[in-house]
Amino acid sequence: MKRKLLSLTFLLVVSFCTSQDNSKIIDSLKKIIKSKPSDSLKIKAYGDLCWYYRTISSDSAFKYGKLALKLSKKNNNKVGEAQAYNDLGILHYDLADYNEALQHYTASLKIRNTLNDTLGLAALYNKIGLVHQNTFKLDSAIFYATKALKIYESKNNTRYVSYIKSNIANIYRGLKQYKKALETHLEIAEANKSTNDNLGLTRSYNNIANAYLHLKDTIQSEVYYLKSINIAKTYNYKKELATLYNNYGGLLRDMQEYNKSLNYNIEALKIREALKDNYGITSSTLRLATLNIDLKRLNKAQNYLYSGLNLAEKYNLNELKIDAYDKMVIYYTYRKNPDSVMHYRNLFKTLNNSIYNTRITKEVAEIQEKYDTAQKEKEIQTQRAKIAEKELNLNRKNTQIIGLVVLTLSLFVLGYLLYNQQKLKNRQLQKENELKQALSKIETHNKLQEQRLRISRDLHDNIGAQLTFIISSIENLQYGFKITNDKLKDKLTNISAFTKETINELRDTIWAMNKNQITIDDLQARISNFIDKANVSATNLSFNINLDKDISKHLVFTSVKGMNIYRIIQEAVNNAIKHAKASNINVQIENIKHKVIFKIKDDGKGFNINNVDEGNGLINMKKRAADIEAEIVYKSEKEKGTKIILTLNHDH
Amino acid sequence: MSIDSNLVFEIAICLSILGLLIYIIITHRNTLISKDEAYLINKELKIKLKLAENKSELLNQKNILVEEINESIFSQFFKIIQQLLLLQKAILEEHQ
Repeated sequence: MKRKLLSLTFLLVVSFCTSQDNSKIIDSLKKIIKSKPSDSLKIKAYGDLCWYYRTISSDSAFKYGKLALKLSKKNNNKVGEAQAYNDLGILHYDLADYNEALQHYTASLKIRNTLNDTLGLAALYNKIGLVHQNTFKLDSAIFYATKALKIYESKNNTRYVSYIKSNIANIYRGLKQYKKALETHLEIAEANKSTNDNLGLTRSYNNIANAYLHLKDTIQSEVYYLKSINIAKTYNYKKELATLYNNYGGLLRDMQEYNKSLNYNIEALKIREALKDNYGITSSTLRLATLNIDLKRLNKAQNYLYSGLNLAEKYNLNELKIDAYDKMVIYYTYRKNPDSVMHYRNLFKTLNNSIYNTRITKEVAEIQEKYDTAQKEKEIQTQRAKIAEKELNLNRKNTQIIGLVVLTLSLFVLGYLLYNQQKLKNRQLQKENELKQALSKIETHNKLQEQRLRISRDLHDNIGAQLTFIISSIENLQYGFKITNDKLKDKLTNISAFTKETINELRDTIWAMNKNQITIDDLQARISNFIDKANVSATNLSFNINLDKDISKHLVFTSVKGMNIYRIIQEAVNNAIKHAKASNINVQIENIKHKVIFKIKDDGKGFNINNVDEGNGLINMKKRAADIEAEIVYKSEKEKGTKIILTLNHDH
Repeated sequence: MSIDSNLVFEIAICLSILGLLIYIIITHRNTLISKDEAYLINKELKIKLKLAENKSELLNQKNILVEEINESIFSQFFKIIQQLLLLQKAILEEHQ
């Protein structure tokens, strides 16, 4: 929250800075720094302090510029770092320390190139151009100025376009193409007027005046100097005012108005001293020396001359040094000191030659450097191309390896799938074979069983037919012939009865065999049928068969089970008729909790279970019950009848 | 015109991968189809087996009944024949 408030305050300060006095702005910026804002804000504040201190104290400006640079580097804030280098370059430029200025500008240029900061680059190109202009490298100056101009034109920035054009015009002036320079400056002045750019207009008028002066039109030159001085005074453009006083002073000197010129130059020097403009101070000092020589004030001239020369030597301002040596020659000529004249003339010549030699050497070195750079760049390009080719090949090989890996994996997957498919097929085939084998075995077994059944059926049919023939033959004998022998008669009756019993037994079995399963209804019907026949043979008997309501109609027995139940009931009823002499026989079929209970009850003479020998009948019943996993219980007492209970489990 | 061996190799790899992928899909589909077919065949065979087992059970039951009746019917039949022969003998002895 605190940081946000500080940011807001900072923005407000920056946005209103144009309408405030520099010292007030500096105080506000210092307050912001004291409030410990974020590092990015601090960098911005340091940068702004550097800028506002530029016209007040170059030391303070340097201090804050360096702080901004240090903090930017620490935080890896590239924008802040580029700005700090730029600001420090400007400070060095102001102090005419062009090498340092150029180094700082180049450092800033590198960073802004990486940041792709087009407008920042344009500003730097312009400043580098100015450095080259001031060091008389006019080709380089025009090269950088044109670069900056192109960017500003592409961005439609009228003010800066004018400014750069002005610089280019100054370069033309340096190249002694004064008419071209004048035309450009007049054009720029019009543009400045239309955009209300008073500072630009001041500079343009100054430049126009300079151009007219070079074209020997002193009247126009004076007009434009005065116009420019007027605007600079109105808007308090100190630096420009100093330059104008200096230039106008020069014009007045040409017009031989030495005293007036002297005053303007003194004013210029004062302003430049206040601004700590070392180049300006040196230039104005030397100008004052010249004017004093002109006015024959040789002592004063001497003071200015030595002061100017010292300054030129201190700041290594070679152009001004040459000027100083030249003025020294004139001064000592007036002083009639030929040794000094010779001395300074030699110095003048030496320096002049060295400057031009240095310049040539520098230019050769530059060309060599450019050539080397081009060669190196070419080599780098070749190496880059090779690396790119290698990378391409590597990428291609990687792609191929990946492709081969994918291919191998696909092969594995396919192999696995095929193996799996084959395995599955084999398993299925095995399973199928097993099932088919089992089926075939059962079917063979079934066929065999069917064969057996067919043979048995034929045999039974045959036996049945023979038994029927025997019965009919015996009956024919009994009714066709009058048999008087009782023994024979009984014998025939017994054989007939036994044969009938046998044939009934056979029919019962065939009945059971013809049914796949025996329902409770089938069983009831068969038992009823048997009881009906028994009723015929024993007329005094009463038979009842009762079916429980709870018995499901869906209750079924296998043929063997059904047959055994039927046989047990048949045996029980036969026993009741033959042995117990019963007059009432009751058959009850019940269903209790998944159990079917057959109860055969008679009112015959009964028997003592403990004393009675179990004859074939009772043993057979027990055996049959055991065969069908049923339970059989006999309940009987003498003269109280018998009760046989057959219980078997079922799923329904 | 020179032929880029790398390009040929890459195309060959790509085509092989594509071919293999298609073959994988076909194989997988065939596996699924044969699985389904096998399942159906198995099911049908199991049903047939069950029916055959049921039939076998039924025939067994019938055979048990046949065995049972055979045991008694033959002895009874021979007994009848024996009694008839004895009766015939008695009649013949009486008339002599």
